[in-house]
Amino acid sequence: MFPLGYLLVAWLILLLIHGLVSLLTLIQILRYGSSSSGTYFVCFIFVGVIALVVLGTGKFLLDIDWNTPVSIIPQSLTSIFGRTATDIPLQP
Amino acid sequence: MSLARFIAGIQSDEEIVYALRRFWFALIPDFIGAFFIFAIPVGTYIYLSNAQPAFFQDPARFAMFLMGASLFFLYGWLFLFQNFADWYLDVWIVTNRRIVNIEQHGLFGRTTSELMLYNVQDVTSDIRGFFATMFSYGNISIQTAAEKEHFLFENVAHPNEIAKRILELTHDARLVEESHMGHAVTPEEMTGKEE
Repeated sequence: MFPLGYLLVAWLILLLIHGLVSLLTLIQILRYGSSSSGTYFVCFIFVGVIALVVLGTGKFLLDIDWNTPVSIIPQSLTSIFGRTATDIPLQP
Repeated sequence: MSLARFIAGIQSDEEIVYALRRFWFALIPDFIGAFFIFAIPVGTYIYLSNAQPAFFQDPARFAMFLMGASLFFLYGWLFLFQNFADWYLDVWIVTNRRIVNIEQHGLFGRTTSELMLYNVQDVTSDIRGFFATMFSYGNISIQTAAEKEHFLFENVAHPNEIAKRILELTHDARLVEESHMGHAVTPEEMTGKEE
């Protein structure tokens, strides 16, 4: 069990990596693409969709209690591995 | 077109006749792949909402799903955009003097090569397959006198018309070159070899 906030940190790190790679891709397409309105439009759509997804997700995540303990292993699995020898009935 | 900035030492009388990219049809497999990638988080949400309605009632569980789904979508979107950039930045520019081949390899690889039109000896267009015939796209192979120099325009629209036009431009470029040199261009001059 660990606080949900740990997953938020992991999410933010992966989001940061995504942002850096996106920025590099945008720089390449703006530097080497033709200086036309089409290039700017495509870049605008790309950034716009990213902004929508990040802001939309962020809006939902604002109300979450990040101290909630969570486990990424399902409860059913922990109960299987958590059984001790005394829990297993002896064969008659 | 603003692509002139990618042609080194462009002459004042040099004009861009074609700026070619692969036919848009080449992007369809990427879009289909992206559609399935984007459908996975949406499909998972719909499935879990119906099969286990209590699953998303826990806010922590919903937050975990949302973070995972958003990352999945964002990386899928980036993958699609990078494929688009790879397509968009591969350009073949035909001017009335030369052919410039610009190829983007991933994010950090870029190759630019060019050949003068008066060196071109053979231009072949090739349309193969059902979709290529229906949408009129295919390959154009450009061979110079030098055995190793060979340009291939892959999956460009209307290859027959373009190949014909390149042959006309080649003829004109050779006449201009001959008028500068004062005699006909010999095969040795085409290949750059002195016999």
